[in-house]
Amino acid sequence: MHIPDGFLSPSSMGTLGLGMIPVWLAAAAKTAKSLKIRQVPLLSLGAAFAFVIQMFNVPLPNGTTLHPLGAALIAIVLGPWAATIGVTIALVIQALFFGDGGVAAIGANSFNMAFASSFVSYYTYKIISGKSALTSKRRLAAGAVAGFAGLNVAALLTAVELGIQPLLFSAADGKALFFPYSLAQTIPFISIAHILIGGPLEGIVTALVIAYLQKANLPMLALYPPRTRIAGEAVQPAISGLKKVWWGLGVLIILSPIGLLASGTAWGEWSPEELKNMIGYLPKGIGEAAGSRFNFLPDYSLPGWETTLFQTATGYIISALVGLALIFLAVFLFSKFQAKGEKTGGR
Amino acid sequence: MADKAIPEWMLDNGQAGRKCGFSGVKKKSGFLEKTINDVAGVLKELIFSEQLSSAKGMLQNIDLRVKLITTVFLLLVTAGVRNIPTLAGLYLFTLMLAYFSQVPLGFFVKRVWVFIPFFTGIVVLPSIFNFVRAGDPLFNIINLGEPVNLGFFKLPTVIAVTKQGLAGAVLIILRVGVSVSLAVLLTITSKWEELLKALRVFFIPKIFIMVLGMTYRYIFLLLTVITDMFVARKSRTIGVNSLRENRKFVSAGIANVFGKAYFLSEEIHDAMIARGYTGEAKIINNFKIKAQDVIWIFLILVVGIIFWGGDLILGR
Repeated sequence: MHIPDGFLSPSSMGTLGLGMIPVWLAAAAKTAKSLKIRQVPLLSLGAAFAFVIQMFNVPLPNGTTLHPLGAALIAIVLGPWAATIGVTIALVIQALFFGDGGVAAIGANSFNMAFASSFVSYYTYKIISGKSALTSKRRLAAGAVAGFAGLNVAALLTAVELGIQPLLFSAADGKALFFPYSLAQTIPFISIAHILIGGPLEGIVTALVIAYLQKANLPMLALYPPRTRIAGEAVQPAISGLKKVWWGLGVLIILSPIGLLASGTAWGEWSPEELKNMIGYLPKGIGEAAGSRFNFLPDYSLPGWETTLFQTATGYIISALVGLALIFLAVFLFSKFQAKGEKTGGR
Repeated sequence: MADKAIPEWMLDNGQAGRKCGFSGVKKKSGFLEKTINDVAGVLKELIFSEQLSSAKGMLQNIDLRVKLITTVFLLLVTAGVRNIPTLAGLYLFTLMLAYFSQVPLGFFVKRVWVFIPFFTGIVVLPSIFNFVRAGDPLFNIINLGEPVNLGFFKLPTVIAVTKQGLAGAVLIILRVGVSVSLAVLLTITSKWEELLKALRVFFIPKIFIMVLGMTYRYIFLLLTVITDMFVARKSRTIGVNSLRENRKFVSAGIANVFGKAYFLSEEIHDAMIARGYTGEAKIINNFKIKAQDVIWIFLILVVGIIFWGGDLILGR
């Protein structure tokens, strides 16, 4: 489910990344308020746990193994805000060290697996468990459904993000520029795997862990929401934190169409053909202006060189090789310069 | 006599009763070994990249904030270009950078290309055929004579690899390859602690950077806890356990590590208070922009523009 770099277009990644910024900031503010001075150690260990939980291989009936995502469990125990931060940090470390999920796609992956998954899991758990006792069986069912729902929401979002890519970004001849499959292909493919295998497993593991905590470590299940009231201090109503989420979602909703419109080319820099595709016809002035511009310097190549395809290709290859050689030279000179600077600096 | 001395359950060739060494048939390794091996693999990776980051190379010397920004810039260029030759050029460029940064090229190439064909390659593969994505046929694989209806979807008369499908697949695989190469270069030439501090250039709040730093440290600890737990279990396991039992063990393990992590966070909190922590995040850094960093920014900017421009010339 980790989307690597290169699958999503820059505008999609940018939209989701920008949308996550207010969520992260709200999460930082919210946890600072509820956890106070405990915030840093608790979030750090929560994030470390979010990373290592994916090391646990759970055996499957056919002899293979699968690891849980863990967002649901962390959201249930530490709350959705702390889970959002914890899973985001685990994703950052996975992307940077293991190439598991892209660096530029961190925003998109966090949106799916950290934010959406945590909140869906937490509220599913909360609604189903209701006011039942901490040790009740109902909480196990709630945990199982929360694990299942959280994972499948993340899977569905991943499928949608990947599936809209060919819709938005395909070359004129139908070549996919980013992810090649359509929504009709990604949603069934990704969702079926997660509904049949990943989701049930996540649900079972979440429920089993809750069952164990009920027996062995009950206070862990009472951590969130914090109930302890410190004398003389008003308990922060949950509304103020939620407000920020709505802001975040609002920004995301506003940004989304911009991201969709900016399909590949920068806003307003469409070529006449693109504009024609987008609005169905070519405004007359643009066609004329474009015509005159393109006549002036046809396709950036020098007049007289574009006579045959072979010659053009040779021209490209030669200029590319020269360009690469120049870059190599520049990097080489830079490393020499750097070495020299170090020597003189060291004396 | 020997037969009587060994109880039957010990002869049961189950999960733990497997023969040592080469047995001729490769069995599926159990989840215990798999987890232990995975954890060891992660620790190995983390320590190896930490070692490379202290080598004396070109990228290791660049100011981390500068390196971070230029990497993101190159990642964006990579995400934006749309022609195979441009991406191939960008890949050669990452090889150059690796070469000048003392990164063993064999390791660098392997690290990137061992995983990509497995993941991206398999994902993208079906898209080259005409029954998945329409396109102009490049070469035909099989002629079925007439369209075949499989109920939920139709196979066309001729199954072919399409020109657009193949070009798109190569494009996406190359793009993922270049992106991963850039990310790998950034991390293996940088010290993690320093890299985190450098994240401040993206206006990331201090609190996140402090949390990231502590997370990294405690990952090592928790990984050791998991290894101990699984090795202990494996050394005490004889015979076969049921799937249900194994699952229960893993879940209890998860719950225990979670409990331990929480307990630790309390202890760390007390330790921090005892050392004068007031809730305000402080980061010590001694970054200094040198002349070479300025030249580096300029160099990367020019390289980016060359590739971007070249890509525009090749067509969109």
